[in-house]
Amino acid sequence: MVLLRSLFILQVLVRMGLTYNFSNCNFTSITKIYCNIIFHDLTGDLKGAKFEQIEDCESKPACLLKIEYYTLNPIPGCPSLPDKTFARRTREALNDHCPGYPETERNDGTQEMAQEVQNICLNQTSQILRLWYSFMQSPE
Amino acid sequence: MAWALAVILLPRLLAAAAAAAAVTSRGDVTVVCHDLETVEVTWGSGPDHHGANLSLEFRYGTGALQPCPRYFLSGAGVTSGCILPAARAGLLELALRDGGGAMVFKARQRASAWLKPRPPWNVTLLWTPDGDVTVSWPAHSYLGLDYEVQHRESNDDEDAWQTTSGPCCDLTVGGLDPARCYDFRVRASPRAAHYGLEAQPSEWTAVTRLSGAASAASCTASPAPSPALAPPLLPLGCGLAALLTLSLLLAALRLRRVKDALLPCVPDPSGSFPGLFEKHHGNFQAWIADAQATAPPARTEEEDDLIHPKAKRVEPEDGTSLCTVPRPPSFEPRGPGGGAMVSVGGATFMVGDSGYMTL
Repeated sequence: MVLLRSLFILQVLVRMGLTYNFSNCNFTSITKIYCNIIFHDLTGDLKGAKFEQIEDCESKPACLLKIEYYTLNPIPGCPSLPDKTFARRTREALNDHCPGYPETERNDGTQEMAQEVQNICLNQTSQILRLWYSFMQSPE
Repeated sequence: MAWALAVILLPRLLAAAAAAAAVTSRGDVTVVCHDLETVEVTWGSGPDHHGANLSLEFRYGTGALQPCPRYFLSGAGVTSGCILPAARAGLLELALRDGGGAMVFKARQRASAWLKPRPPWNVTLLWTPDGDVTVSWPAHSYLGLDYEVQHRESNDDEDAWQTTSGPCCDLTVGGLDPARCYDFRVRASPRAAHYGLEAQPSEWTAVTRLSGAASAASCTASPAPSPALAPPLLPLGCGLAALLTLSLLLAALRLRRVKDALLPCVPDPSGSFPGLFEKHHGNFQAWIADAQATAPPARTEEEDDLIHPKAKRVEPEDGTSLCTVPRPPSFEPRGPGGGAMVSVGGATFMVGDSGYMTL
Protein backbone atom coordinates (compact mmCIF):
# COMPACT_ATOMS: atom_id res chain seq x y z
CA MET A 1 0.00 0.00 0.00
CA VAL A 2 2.79 2.40 0.83
CA LEU A 3 4.45 1.61 -2.50
CA LEU A 4 1.30 2.33 -4.45
CA ARG A 5 0.79 5.55 -2.59
CA SER A 6 4.33 6.71 -3.23
CA LEU A 7 4.04 5.87 -6.92
CA PHE A 8 0.85 7.85 -7.35
CA ILE A 9 2.18 10.89 -5.53
CA LEU A 10 5.37 10.81 -7.57
CA GLN A 11 3.40 10.69 -10.80
CA VAL A 12 1.34 13.68 -9.75
CA LEU A 13 4.37 15.74 -8.87
CA VAL A 14 6.09 14.97 -12.15
CA ARG A 15 3.10 15.83 -14.23
CA MET A 16 2.21 19.06 -12.45
CA GLY A 17 4.60 21.01 -14.64
CA LEU A 18 3.03 19.83 -17.87
CA THR A 19 -0.58 20.12 -16.92
CA TYR A 20 -3.54 21.85 -18.44
CA ASN A 21 -5.51 24.37 -16.38
CA PHE A 22 -8.98 22.92 -15.95
CA SER A 23 -10.49 26.09 -14.45
CA ASN A 24 -12.22 27.03 -17.72
CA CYS A 25 -14.07 23.76 -18.17
CA ASN A 26 -17.86 23.56 -18.32
CA PHE A 27 -18.33 21.79 -15.01
CA THR A 28 -22.11 21.50 -15.41
CA SER A 29 -21.82 19.51 -18.63
CA ILE A 30 -18.96 17.38 -17.28
CA THR A 31 -21.04 16.66 -14.13
CA LYS A 32 -23.97 15.43 -16.23
CA ILE A 33 -21.75 13.14 -18.30
CA TYR A 34 -20.14 11.72 -15.18
CA CYS A 35 -23.47 11.12 -13.35
CA ASN A 36 -25.23 9.55 -16.34
CA ILE A 37 -22.42 7.55 -17.94
CA ILE A 38 -18.94 7.51 -16.37
CA PHE A 39 -20.18 6.67 -12.83
CA HIS A 40 -21.98 3.54 -14.05
CA ASP A 41 -18.91 2.45 -16.08
CA LEU A 42 -16.66 2.79 -13.03
CA THR A 43 -18.96 0.95 -10.60
CA GLY A 44 -19.51 -1.74 -13.20
CA ASP A 45 -15.76 -2.36 -13.48
CA LEU A 46 -15.24 -2.34 -9.68
CA LYS A 47 -18.07 -4.76 -8.85
CA GLY A 48 -18.09 -3.73 -5.19
CA ALA A 49 -14.32 -3.91 -4.55
CA LYS A 50 -13.14 -1.40 -1.92
CA PHE A 51 -9.73 0.18 -1.48
CA GLU A 52 -8.39 2.88 0.77
CA GLN A 53 -8.45 6.29 -0.81
CA ILE A 54 -4.98 7.67 -1.43
CA GLU A 55 -5.54 11.04 -3.08
CA ASP A 56 -8.06 13.80 -2.47
CA CYS A 57 -8.79 17.19 -4.01
CA GLU A 58 -10.66 20.26 -2.80
CA SER A 59 -11.75 22.13 -5.93
CA LYS A 60 -13.26 21.04 -9.23
CA PRO A 61 -10.23 22.09 -11.34
CA ALA A 62 -7.83 20.30 -8.96
CA CYS A 63 -10.00 17.19 -9.01
CA LEU A 64 -10.21 17.14 -12.82
CA LEU A 65 -6.41 17.44 -12.98
CA LYS A 66 -5.95 14.31 -10.90
CA ILE A 67 -8.82 12.46 -12.59
CA GLU A 68 -7.35 13.15 -16.01
CA TYR A 69 -3.91 11.96 -14.99
CA TYR A 70 -4.96 8.73 -13.27
CA THR A 71 -7.43 7.86 -16.01
CA LEU A 72 -5.44 8.50 -19.15
CA ASN A 73 -1.97 7.33 -18.14
CA PRO A 74 -1.04 3.66 -18.00
CA ILE A 75 0.65 2.46 -14.84
CA PRO A 76 2.79 -0.60 -14.14
CA GLY A 77 0.46 -3.51 -13.65
CA CYS A 78 -2.49 -1.95 -15.54
CA PRO A 79 -1.46 -0.94 -19.06
CA SER A 80 -5.03 -1.28 -20.40
CA LEU A 81 -6.55 1.35 -18.14
CA PRO A 82 -6.60 4.19 -20.74
CA ASP A 83 -8.47 1.90 -23.13
CA LYS A 84 -11.30 1.09 -20.77
CA THR A 85 -14.79 2.49 -21.55
CA PHE A 86 -14.84 4.95 -18.65
CA ALA A 87 -11.43 6.29 -19.64
CA ARG A 88 -12.48 6.80 -23.25
CA ARG A 89 -15.62 8.68 -22.19
CA THR A 90 -13.63 10.83 -19.75
CA ARG A 91 -11.32 11.84 -22.58
CA GLU A 92 -14.26 12.72 -24.80
CA ALA A 93 -15.86 14.84 -22.03
CA LEU A 94 -12.65 16.78 -21.46
CA ASN A 95 -12.18 17.31 -25.17
CA ASP A 96 -15.74 18.56 -25.58
CA HIS A 97 -16.10 20.75 -22.49
CA CYS A 98 -12.61 22.04 -21.62
CA PRO A 99 -11.56 24.72 -24.12
CA GLY A 100 -7.99 24.22 -25.34
CA TYR A 101 -7.61 20.80 -23.69
CA PRO A 102 -4.59 19.25 -25.43
CA GLU A 103 -4.69 15.71 -26.68
CA THR A 104 -1.37 14.82 -25.09
CA GLU A 105 0.66 12.02 -26.58
CA ARG A 106 0.79 9.17 -24.15
CA ASN A 107 3.61 6.74 -23.67
CA ASP A 108 2.47 3.23 -24.45
CA GLY A 109 4.67 1.91 -21.72
CA THR A 110 7.57 -0.44 -21.63
CA GLN A 111 7.58 -4.18 -21.82
CA GLU A 112 7.63 -4.33 -18.02
CA MET A 113 4.30 -2.54 -17.90
CA ALA A 114 2.58 -4.97 -20.24
CA GLN A 115 1.72 -7.37 -17.44
CA GLU A 116 -1.78 -6.84 -16.23
CA VAL A 117 -2.44 -7.29 -12.53
CA GLN A 118 -6.15 -7.24 -11.79
CA ASN A 119 -5.81 -5.88 -8.26
CA ILE A 120 -3.73 -2.96 -9.49
CA CYS A 121 -6.34 -2.11 -12.12
CA LEU A 122 -9.11 -2.36 -9.54
CA ASN A 123 -7.21 -0.17 -7.10
CA GLN A 124 -6.57 2.44 -9.78
CA THR A 125 -10.23 2.40 -10.84
CA SER A 126 -11.28 2.85 -7.19
CA GLN A 127 -8.99 5.85 -6.80
CA ILE A 128 -10.47 7.46 -9.92
CA LEU A 129 -14.04 6.91 -8.69
CA ARG A 130 -13.26 8.51 -5.30
CA LEU A 131 -11.69 11.51 -7.04
CA TRP A 132 -14.95 11.91 -8.95
CA TYR A 133 -16.83 11.90 -5.59
CA SER A 134 -14.50 14.66 -4.38
CA PHE A 135 -15.11 16.54 -7.65
CA MET A 136 -18.89 16.40 -7.02
CA GLN A 137 -18.53 17.67 -3.44
CA SER A 138 -16.00 20.44 -4.18
CA PRO A 139 -16.69 24.05 -5.10
CA GLU A 140 -15.78 25.48 -8.49
CA MET B 1 12.16 10.35 -14.36
CA ALA B 2 8.84 8.99 -13.17
CA TRP B 3 9.00 6.18 -15.67
CA ALA B 4 12.53 5.27 -14.62
CA LEU B 5 11.49 5.05 -11.04
CA ALA B 6 8.50 2.97 -11.99
CA VAL B 7 10.68 0.46 -13.85
CA ILE B 8 12.96 0.11 -10.83
CA LEU B 9 10.07 -0.42 -8.48
CA LEU B 10 8.09 -2.74 -10.78
CA PRO B 11 9.31 -6.07 -9.36
CA ARG B 12 8.58 -5.00 -5.80
CA LEU B 13 5.28 -3.59 -6.93
CA LEU B 14 4.16 -6.85 -8.49
CA ALA B 15 5.08 -8.74 -5.33
CA ALA B 16 3.12 -6.37 -3.17
CA ALA B 17 0.14 -6.42 -5.51
CA ALA B 18 -0.95 -9.78 -4.19
CA ALA B 19 -1.36 -8.16 -0.78
CA ALA B 20 -2.65 -4.89 -2.17
CA ALA B 21 -4.38 -2.65 0.35
CA ALA B 22 -7.97 -3.67 0.31
CA VAL B 23 -9.95 -2.03 3.07
CA THR B 24 -9.55 -3.97 6.29
CA SER B 25 -13.13 -4.48 7.28
CA ARG B 26 -15.05 -6.52 9.76
CA GLY B 27 -18.66 -7.46 9.51
CA ASP B 28 -19.43 -6.07 12.95
CA VAL B 29 -17.87 -2.62 12.53
CA THR B 30 -20.20 0.10 11.25
CA VAL B 31 -19.39 3.69 10.41
CA VAL B 32 -22.08 6.37 10.03
CA CYS B 33 -21.53 10.07 9.35
CA HIS B 34 -24.55 11.84 10.85
CA ASP B 35 -25.55 14.83 8.71
CA LEU B 36 -21.86 15.60 7.96
CA GLU B 37 -21.49 16.69 11.61
CA THR B 38 -20.31 13.67 13.55
CA VAL B 39 -18.89 10.25 12.70
CA GLU B 40 -20.08 7.31 14.78
CA VAL B 41 -18.02 4.09 14.71
CA THR B 42 -19.53 1.06 16.47
CA TRP B 43 -18.22 -2.43 16.89
CA GLY B 44 -19.82 -5.52 18.39
CA SER B 45 -18.52 -7.84 21.09
CA GLY B 46 -18.12 -10.77 18.72
CA PRO B 47 -15.68 -13.66 19.02
CA ASP B 48 -13.04 -11.94 16.87
CA HIS B 49 -11.60 -10.02 19.74
CA HIS B 50 -13.06 -12.07 22.61
CA GLY B 51 -14.62 -9.13 24.42
CA ALA B 52 -11.37 -7.18 24.61
CA ASN B 53 -11.23 -3.43 24.96
CA LEU B 54 -10.66 -2.01 21.46
CA SER B 55 -9.13 1.42 20.93
CA LEU B 56 -9.77 3.77 18.01
CA GLU B 57 -7.45 6.37 16.55
CA PHE B 58 -8.27 8.78 13.73
CA ARG B 59 -6.90 11.68 11.72
CA TYR B 60 -7.87 13.95 8.86
CA GLY B 61 -5.32 14.34 6.08
CA THR B 62 -1.72 13.75 7.07
CA GLY B 63 -1.83 15.00 10.66
CA ALA B 64 -0.95 12.93 13.69
CA LEU B 65 -3.26 10.14 14.78
CA GLN B 66 -5.54 11.17 17.64
CA PRO B 67 -7.32 8.96 20.18
CA CYS B 68 -11.09 8.72 20.14
CA PRO B 69 -12.53 11.74 21.97
CA ARG B 70 -15.59 9.88 23.32
CA TYR B 71 -16.13 6.13 23.62
CA PHE B 72 -19.37 4.21 24.11
CA LEU B 73 -19.18 1.39 26.62
CA SER B 74 -21.06 -1.88 26.49
CA GLY B 75 -22.79 -3.45 29.48
CA ALA B 76 -19.62 -5.41 30.23
CA GLY B 77 -17.67 -2.18 30.55
CA VAL B 78 -15.58 -2.58 27.37
CA THR B 79 -15.57 -0.10 24.52
CA SER B 80 -18.27 -0.64 21.91
CA GLY B 81 -18.09 2.53 19.83
CA CYS B 82 -16.67 6.00 19.33
CA ILE B 83 -18.04 9.34 18.21
CA LEU B 84 -15.77 11.92 16.64
CA PRO B 85 -16.20 15.18 14.70
CA ALA B 86 -16.78 15.08 10.92
CA ALA B 87 -14.95 17.21 8.35
CA ARG B 88 -16.52 17.94 4.97
CA ALA B 89 -13.17 17.76 3.11
CA GLY B 90 -10.00 15.79 3.63
CA LEU B 91 -9.54 12.06 3.99
CA LEU B 92 -10.57 10.47 7.31
CA GLU B 93 -8.34 7.63 8.42
CA LEU B 94 -9.71 5.23 11.07
CA ALA B 95 -7.62 2.62 12.87
CA LEU B 96 -9.21 0.19 15.35
CA ARG B 97 -6.83 -1.95 17.39
CA ASP B 98 -7.16 -4.56 20.10
CA GLY B 99 -5.39 -4.53 23.46
CA GLY B 100 -2.24 -6.01 21.92
CA GLY B 101 -2.06 -3.35 19.23
CA ALA B 102 -3.12 -5.62 16.36
CA MET B 103 -5.18 -3.87 13.69
CA VAL B 104 -8.76 -5.18 13.58
CA PHE B 105 -10.28 -2.50 11.31
CA LYS B 106 -8.83 0.19 9.06
CA ALA B 107 -10.40 2.62 6.60
CA ARG B 108 -9.40 5.77 4.78
CA GLN B 109 -11.83 7.86 2.75
CA ARG B 110 -13.87 11.04 3.05
CA ALA B 111 -16.25 11.08 6.02
CA SER B 112 -19.06 11.90 3.57
CA ALA B 113 -18.71 8.39 2.12
CA TRP B 114 -20.59 7.17 5.23
CA LEU B 115 -23.23 9.94 5.12
CA LYS B 116 -26.66 9.53 6.69
CA PRO B 117 -28.59 12.83 6.51
CA ARG B 118 -31.00 14.02 9.18
CA PRO B 119 -34.68 13.65 8.22
CA PRO B 120 -36.29 16.63 6.47
CA TRP B 121 -38.09 19.07 8.77
CA ASN B 122 -40.87 21.68 8.55
CA VAL B 123 -42.61 19.71 5.80
CA THR B 124 -45.68 21.53 4.49
CA LEU B 125 -48.55 20.08 2.44
CA LEU B 126 -50.90 22.10 0.24
CA TRP B 127 -53.77 21.21 -2.09
CA THR B 128 -53.50 22.92 -5.48
CA PRO B 129 -56.52 24.08 -7.51
CA ASP B 130 -55.85 21.16 -9.88
CA GLY B 131 -56.36 18.61 -7.11
CA ASP B 132 -52.65 17.85 -6.66
CA VAL B 133 -50.68 18.15 -3.42
CA THR B 134 -47.50 20.22 -3.25
CA VAL B 135 -45.01 18.98 -0.64
CA SER B 136 -42.23 21.39 0.35
CA TRP B 137 -39.40 21.45 2.90
CA PRO B 138 -36.21 23.46 3.57
CA ALA B 139 -32.86 22.38 2.06
CA HIS B 140 -30.06 20.64 3.94
CA SER B 141 -26.81 22.59 4.28
CA TYR B 142 -25.07 20.43 1.67
CA LEU B 143 -25.86 19.30 -1.90
CA GLY B 144 -26.14 15.89 -3.53
CA LEU B 145 -29.44 14.74 -1.99
CA ASP B 146 -32.61 13.42 -3.58
CA TYR B 147 -35.87 13.37 -1.63
CA GLU B 148 -38.47 10.64 -1.49
CA VAL B 149 -42.09 11.53 -0.72
CA GLN B 150 -44.46 8.72 0.15
CA HIS B 151 -48.23 8.99 0.40
CA ARG B 152 -51.20 6.67 1.03
CA GLU B 153 -54.88 7.00 1.84
CA SER B 154 -55.35 7.51 5.56
CA ASN B 155 -55.71 4.31 7.58
CA ASP B 156 -54.36 2.19 4.71
CA ASP B 157 -51.77 -0.45 5.61
CA GLU B 158 -47.96 -0.28 5.32
CA ASP B 159 -47.89 -1.88 1.86
CA ALA B 160 -49.95 0.93 0.36
CA TRP B 161 -47.23 3.62 0.39
CA GLN B 162 -46.54 5.16 -3.06
CA THR B 163 -43.22 6.91 -3.71
CA THR B 164 -42.39 10.04 -5.67
CA SER B 165 -38.74 11.22 -5.87
CA GLY B 166 -37.10 14.47 -6.78
CA PRO B 167 -34.48 17.05 -5.86
CA CYS B 168 -34.90 19.74 -3.24
CA CYS B 169 -37.11 21.43 -2.15
CA ASP B 170 -40.65 20.79 -3.36
CA LEU B 171 -42.48 18.08 -5.14
CA THR B 172 -46.02 17.73 -6.53
CA VAL B 173 -48.00 14.56 -6.04
CA GLY B 174 -50.80 14.10 -8.55
CA GLY B 175 -53.64 11.67 -9.07
CA LEU B 176 -55.17 12.26 -5.63
CA ASP B 177 -58.85 12.58 -4.75
CA PRO B 178 -59.55 15.96 -3.10
CA ALA B 179 -62.47 14.42 -1.18
CA ARG B 180 -60.23 11.95 0.63
CA CYS B 181 -57.64 12.19 3.39
CA TYR B 182 -54.01 11.16 2.90
CA ASP B 183 -50.89 10.38 4.96
CA PHE B 184 -47.49 11.73 3.86
CA ARG B 185 -43.86 11.17 4.91
CA VAL B 186 -40.49 12.33 3.48
CA ARG B 187 -36.85 11.27 3.67
CA ALA B 188 -33.53 12.50 2.21
CA SER B 189 -31.41 10.12 0.15
CA PRO B 190 -27.72 10.80 -0.79
CA ARG B 191 -27.03 10.31 -4.50
CA ALA B 192 -24.66 7.41 -5.14
CA ALA B 193 -22.73 9.30 -7.84
CA HIS B 194 -22.19 12.14 -5.33
CA TYR B 195 -21.29 10.33 -2.11
CA GLY B 196 -20.75 6.69 -3.04
CA LEU B 197 -22.54 3.44 -2.40
CA GLU B 198 -21.98 3.35 1.39
CA ALA B 199 -24.06 6.48 2.08
CA GLN B 200 -27.60 5.72 3.30
CA PRO B 201 -30.99 7.48 3.36
CA SER B 202 -32.25 9.37 6.39
CA GLU B 203 -35.02 8.11 8.65
CA TRP B 204 -38.56 8.92 7.51
CA THR B 205 -40.27 11.97 8.95
CA ALA B 206 -43.27 11.39 11.18
CA VAL B 207 -46.45 10.66 9.20
CA THR B 208 -48.50 13.81 8.56
CA ARG B 209 -52.20 13.53 7.78
CA LEU B 210 -53.71 15.87 5.20
CA SER B 211 -57.46 16.38 5.17
CA GLY B 212 -59.39 16.50 1.93
CA ALA B 213 -59.51 19.72 -0.07
CA ALA B 214 -63.26 20.07 0.52
CA SER B 215 -64.27 21.76 3.75
CA ALA B 216 -66.71 18.94 4.61
CA ALA B 217 -63.89 16.38 4.88
CA SER B 218 -64.26 14.28 7.99
CA CYS B 219 -60.60 13.95 8.99
CA THR B 220 -58.38 16.81 10.13
CA ALA B 221 -54.73 17.61 9.46
CA SER B 222 -53.16 16.07 12.52
CA PRO B 223 -50.62 13.39 13.34
CA ALA B 224 -51.89 9.88 12.68
CA PRO B 225 -53.55 8.38 15.79
CA SER B 226 -51.78 5.77 17.85
CA PRO B 227 -52.76 2.28 16.75
CA ALA B 228 -53.19 1.26 20.42
CA LEU B 229 -56.40 3.29 20.84
CA ALA B 230 -59.69 1.33 20.66
CA PRO B 231 -62.14 2.32 17.92
CA PRO B 232 -64.68 4.94 19.14
CA LEU B 233 -67.70 2.76 18.31
CA LEU B 234 -67.07 0.32 21.14
CA PRO B 235 -67.61 2.63 24.16
CA LEU B 236 -70.53 4.29 22.37
CA GLY B 237 -72.24 0.94 21.85
CA CYS B 238 -71.70 -0.09 25.43
CA GLY B 239 -73.14 3.20 26.67
CA LEU B 240 -76.26 2.86 24.55
CA ALA B 241 -76.83 -0.71 25.75
CA ALA B 242 -76.52 0.36 29.39
CA LEU B 243 -78.93 3.25 28.85
CA LEU B 244 -81.50 0.98 27.20
CA THR B 245 -81.30 -1.57 30.00
CA LEU B 246 -81.79 1.14 32.61
CA SER B 247 -84.80 2.52 30.76
CA LEU B 248 -86.44 -0.90 30.52
CA LEU B 249 -85.88 -1.49 34.22
CA LEU B 250 -87.42 1.84 35.16
CA ALA B 251 -90.45 1.14 32.97
CA ALA B 252 -90.87 -2.30 34.50
CA LEU B 253 -90.80 -0.85 37.99
CA ARG B 254 -93.87 1.16 37.20
CA LEU B 255 -95.88 -2.10 37.12
CA ARG B 256 -97.25 -2.63 40.65
CA ARG B 257 -96.67 -6.35 40.73
CA VAL B 258 -93.08 -5.95 39.67
CA LYS B 259 -92.63 -3.18 42.15
CA ASP B 260 -94.08 -5.19 44.99
CA ALA B 261 -91.89 -8.15 44.15
CA LEU B 262 -88.72 -6.11 43.88
CA LEU B 263 -89.50 -3.47 46.50
CA PRO B 264 -91.87 -4.93 49.13
CA CYS B 265 -93.70 -2.44 51.34
CA VAL B 266 -92.53 -1.78 54.83
CA PRO B 267 -95.41 -2.76 57.17
CA ASP B 268 -97.17 0.26 58.62
CA PRO B 269 -98.37 -0.45 62.16
CA SER B 270 -100.71 2.49 62.28
CA GLY B 271 -103.45 0.54 60.50
CA SER B 272 -103.34 -2.37 62.89
CA PHE B 273 -103.10 -0.23 66.02
CA PRO B 274 -105.50 2.69 65.70
CA GLY B 275 -104.57 5.59 67.86
CA LEU B 276 -101.05 4.30 68.56
CA PHE B 277 -99.36 7.30 66.98
CA GLU B 278 -102.17 9.86 67.10
CA LYS B 279 -103.18 9.41 70.76
CA HIS B 280 -100.28 7.73 72.49
CA HIS B 281 -97.40 9.06 70.32
CA GLY B 282 -96.01 5.63 69.60
CA ASN B 283 -96.03 4.49 73.25
CA PHE B 284 -97.13 0.96 72.78
CA GLN B 285 -97.52 0.15 76.51
CA ALA B 286 -99.82 3.10 76.99
CA TRP B 287 -101.80 1.98 74.00
CA ILE B 288 -102.09 -1.55 75.39
CA ALA B 289 -103.31 -0.26 78.73
CA ASP B 290 -105.86 1.90 77.01
CA ALA B 291 -106.94 -0.91 74.76
CA GLN B 292 -107.31 -3.33 77.66
CA ALA B 293 -109.48 -0.91 79.47
CA THR B 294 -111.86 -0.56 76.57
CA ALA B 295 -111.79 -3.93 74.76
CA PRO B 296 -113.71 -7.03 75.97
CA PRO B 297 -111.60 -10.01 76.96
CA ALA B 298 -110.91 -12.09 73.88
CA ARG B 299 -111.46 -15.78 73.70
CA THR B 300 -108.20 -17.61 73.75
CA GLU B 301 -107.47 -20.75 71.86
CA GLU B 302 -107.66 -22.75 75.07
CA GLU B 303 -111.11 -21.43 75.61
CA ASP B 304 -112.02 -22.33 72.12
CA ASP B 305 -110.85 -25.89 72.75
CA LEU B 306 -113.03 -26.34 75.88
CA ILE B 307 -116.40 -27.86 75.42
CA HIS B 308 -118.97 -25.94 77.30
CA PRO B 309 -121.96 -28.25 77.67
CA LYS B 310 -125.14 -26.46 77.16
CA ALA B 311 -127.27 -26.53 80.34
CA LYS B 312 -130.54 -28.35 79.82
CA ARG B 313 -133.15 -27.26 82.31
CA VAL B 314 -135.20 -30.18 83.71
CA GLU B 315 -138.14 -29.01 85.59
CA PRO B 316 -139.00 -31.37 88.47
CA GLU B 317 -142.56 -32.24 88.90
CA ASP B 318 -142.72 -30.40 92.14
CA GLY B 319 -141.19 -27.41 90.43
CA THR B 320 -137.90 -27.54 92.17
CA SER B 321 -134.74 -27.60 90.11
CA LEU B 322 -133.21 -31.09 90.19
CA CYS B 323 -129.89 -30.14 88.69
CA THR B 324 -128.12 -27.03 87.71
CA VAL B 325 -125.42 -26.58 85.15
CA PRO B 326 -122.33 -25.71 86.99
CA ARG B 327 -120.89 -22.49 85.96
CA PRO B 328 -117.64 -23.03 84.27
CA PRO B 329 -114.90 -21.90 86.54
CA SER B 330 -113.52 -18.50 85.95
CA PHE B 331 -110.69 -18.79 83.34
CA GLU B 332 -107.64 -16.55 83.10
CA PRO B 333 -105.45 -17.62 80.11
CA ARG B 334 -101.71 -17.92 80.77
CA GLY B 335 -98.78 -17.91 78.33
CA PRO B 336 -95.97 -20.40 78.33
CA GLY B 337 -93.98 -18.20 80.68
CA GLY B 338 -96.80 -17.86 83.01
CA GLY B 339 -97.53 -14.27 82.00
CA ALA B 340 -101.08 -13.08 81.29
CA MET B 341 -102.16 -13.32 77.68
CA VAL B 342 -103.97 -10.41 76.17
CA SER B 343 -105.58 -10.43 72.78
CA VAL B 344 -106.26 -7.00 71.39
CA GLY B 345 -107.24 -5.97 67.90
CA GLY B 346 -106.51 -9.40 66.44
CA ALA B 347 -102.95 -9.53 67.94
CA THR B 348 -101.99 -11.58 71.00
CA PHE B 349 -99.60 -10.26 73.64
CA MET B 350 -98.17 -11.69 76.85
CA VAL B 351 -97.46 -9.44 79.76
CA GLY B 352 -94.60 -10.80 81.72
CA ASP B 353 -93.83 -10.18 85.35
CA SER B 354 -91.41 -7.51 84.29
CA GLY B 355 -94.23 -5.77 82.54
CA TYR B 356 -92.59 -6.11 79.13
CA MET B 357 -94.83 -6.94 76.25
CA THR B 358 -93.98 -9.83 74.00
CA LEU B 359 -95.48 -9.69 70.58
